[in-house]
Amino acid sequence: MDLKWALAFSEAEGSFFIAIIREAKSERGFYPRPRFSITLLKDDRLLLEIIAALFQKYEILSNLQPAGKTSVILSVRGVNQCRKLADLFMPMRWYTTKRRDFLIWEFALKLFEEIKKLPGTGSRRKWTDQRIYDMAYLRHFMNSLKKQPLARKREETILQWGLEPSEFVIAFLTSLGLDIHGS
Amino acid sequence: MDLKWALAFIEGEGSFCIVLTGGKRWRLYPSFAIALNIHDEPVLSAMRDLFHEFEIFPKFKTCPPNGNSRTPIAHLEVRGTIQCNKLAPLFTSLQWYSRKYRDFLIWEYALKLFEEIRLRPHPLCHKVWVNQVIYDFVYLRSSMNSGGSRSKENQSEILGWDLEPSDHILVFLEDLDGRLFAHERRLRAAHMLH
Repeated sequence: MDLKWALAFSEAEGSFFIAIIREAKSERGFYPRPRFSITLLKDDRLLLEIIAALFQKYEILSNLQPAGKTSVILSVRGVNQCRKLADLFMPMRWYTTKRRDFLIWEFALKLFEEIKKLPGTGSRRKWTDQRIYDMAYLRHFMNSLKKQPLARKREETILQWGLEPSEFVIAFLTSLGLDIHGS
Repeated sequence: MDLKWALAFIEGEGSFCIVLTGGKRWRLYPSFAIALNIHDEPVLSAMRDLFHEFEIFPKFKTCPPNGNSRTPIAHLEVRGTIQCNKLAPLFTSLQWYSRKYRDFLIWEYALKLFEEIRLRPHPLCHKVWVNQVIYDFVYLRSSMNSGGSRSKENQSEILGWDLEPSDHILVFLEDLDGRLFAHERRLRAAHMLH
């Protein structure tokens, strides 16, 4: 297996997303994290093992674990690991509209990286309401048909905080040709 | 787009089927299909162009939202024995990774049976499509992961006939597990997985 195969399969079955975790690392108890995952039936565990081995060649660490009774999930978690994956896939030829999700995800990764670099420790200070709102707003334009009900609810809760997305977020989404006001 | 990309994508989204329709008489034919959100129509157009290079001419259509899909979809289908027989060899020699390979092997075997029928002097004659032949195809179909998703009632009705699958079908399916086991062992060895 090579990267070309892995990307083609990811275009079909992969998911680039921003998870919103319920944790007390911010004032309001939400904590966004970047993730990439592929979920398949258990019968296809070997395929995911092979993708994990391929990622490992590029020093990308991934987790392979059961998802419910029937499925298995391969996930790349955390800013550093997702960045390595993004750098691999970014220059490659894409065919599907998942490229748009990927570009939003990669933009979010840059924000995650900036937030990580901010001085001071404690995630509570770094994850201001505005930053969480921006992430939820970006997320709102991704994978719109495949969101889990719980994740969708969290996203909607954040989007009802009465904030506005930062200008650079609007500018980025507009540059992708997205209809911000029509969504 | 090249064949390698196409197969990787097909392992995710493609469907190798034996289509079964009811009505006045049972009708069976091989089909390969991919349905995507209408936004990804260019992917299917590129795949259609790729198939054209191999003289394969898929049907291409867009469908409004319906019971199976909340959004409009684009649909590419390679239908019938002659067209599917051109498609199968393209993928036989490429490396497969997913369990869809199992469906593909069953589909490929069914194709051989369809081809035998097609080459008979009167392939559409009701004397060719006797109950045993129909039963065998439906039995193969029921062994595929994608087999049970549609026409489930028709399939159950036919499998309820007082028949048994032909010996060659049973031999093929028994042999299939061994082939897949060997395939997985080769994959593990090639990727140094234990």
